[in-house]
Amino acid sequence: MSPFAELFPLIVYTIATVLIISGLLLAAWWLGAKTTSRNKEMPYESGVIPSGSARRPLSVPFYLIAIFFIVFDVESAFIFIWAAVWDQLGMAGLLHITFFIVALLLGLAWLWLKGGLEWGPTKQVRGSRSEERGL
Amino acid sequence: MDIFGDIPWYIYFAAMILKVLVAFVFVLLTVAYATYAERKLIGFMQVRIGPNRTGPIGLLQPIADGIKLFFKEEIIPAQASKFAFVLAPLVALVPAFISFAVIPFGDSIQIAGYKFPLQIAAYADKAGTVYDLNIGVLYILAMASLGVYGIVLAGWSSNSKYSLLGGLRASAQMISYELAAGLAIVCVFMVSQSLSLQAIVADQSGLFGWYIFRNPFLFVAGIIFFICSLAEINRTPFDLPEAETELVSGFCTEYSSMKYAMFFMAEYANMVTVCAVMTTLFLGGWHGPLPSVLNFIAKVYVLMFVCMWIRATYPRYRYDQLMKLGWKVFLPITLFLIMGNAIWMTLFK
Repeated sequence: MSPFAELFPLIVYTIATVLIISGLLLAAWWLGAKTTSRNKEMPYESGVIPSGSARRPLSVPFYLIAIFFIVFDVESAFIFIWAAVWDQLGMAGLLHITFFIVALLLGLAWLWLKGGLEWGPTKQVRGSRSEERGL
Repeated sequence: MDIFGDIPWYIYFAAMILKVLVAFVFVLLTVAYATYAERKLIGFMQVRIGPNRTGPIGLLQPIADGIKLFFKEEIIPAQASKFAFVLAPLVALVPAFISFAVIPFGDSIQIAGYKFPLQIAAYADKAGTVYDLNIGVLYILAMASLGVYGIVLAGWSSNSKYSLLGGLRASAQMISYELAAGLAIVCVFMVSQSLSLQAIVADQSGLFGWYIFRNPFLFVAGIIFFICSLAEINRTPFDLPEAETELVSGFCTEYSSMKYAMFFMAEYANMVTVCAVMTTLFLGGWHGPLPSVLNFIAKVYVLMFVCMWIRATYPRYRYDQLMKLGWKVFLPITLFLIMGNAIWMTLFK
């Protein structure tokens, strides 16, 4: 047996898919009308003339979610490896992974308590905003 | 030509090309007619008729739509990053198609003394032993992650505020649910003891052999996997990235012509792939009463019908509810499921 024999069709399929889809894109570019004007090339903002660049700073929760994802995804890679051979690892492996998963859950609980998973304005912000409005 | 196994190279190549063509055409046709089926079904569910003008009962509608989109003008916004803007539809669509390569869509067939497994990334040697990509499940997870790049690129490169917000929302949503979906299928590896999809399907013969019926933890894992997959491919009720009441069309606001159609096709191709993965991992793959390929297709189509049914039934989530569901409900549950499954399997070996 050679490991290449089952991988080769995958490579062929990938190349064929990329070629066919690029072909479709090219064909559409070739067939479509080509009459551009300045107004057409403006970004769409529901009829309002756009002001400034759209490359705006991101909201912090998005950044936090990305970091949490990396932490948990790397750890789920360890769980995958354990799960594929868990029968052979036996009780010792089960105890180790229990410890690992409990640690993960504690991490999640900590994020939860610290408000890392909250979206929208926090209670303090909401409070100060209603004070500004004189409520 | 020993690198292609011990069967003659021309047989190997003929089988490969045939399988690639069949799989590609199957996904493409299903995608085209899924759009028709969805419009028709949702039409009936809302007491409308749906498309019925092009061809008998509107059957030529997807073809008419395709031809129309081909002849539309491609507008590239002046401020957009051109290269990334053109690349994004390709990056979104290709992973959706190629994750199908590792899914076994039928039992191996025997022709002229040679055995051919019905799975693209697989081959059988002269003795009839089937070899397939032994990390098939990881490959599917990897391709699901790659799909995020297309959407982020589209959102960022359009240089439009709606697109940027849609792209950001989509990426945060997809990575959150990918985590829960990935952990939900850990229970499957624990039963199958293998990451090869051929082995996983072979292990599920018989009605109660389906993994979803093996134990209560797997049942819950299967349902969570399906819901998380719906969220990962941005289907209703989790279609926040393209919430048209607030973001126009989300990350693909600036796209037109075939490029727009690519994102649309990617959504449906992802739906086909997700339903195929769900069938393979939890619902017994091609096992069942009909000939093997028909079983597989029937199960995939039933799941796709469920997706459309859900779309017609449920209203959209709010963004904070969506993230709460992913991180505070599904993630802890999947971690508990892994433990529960381990304990169950140790007790009832």
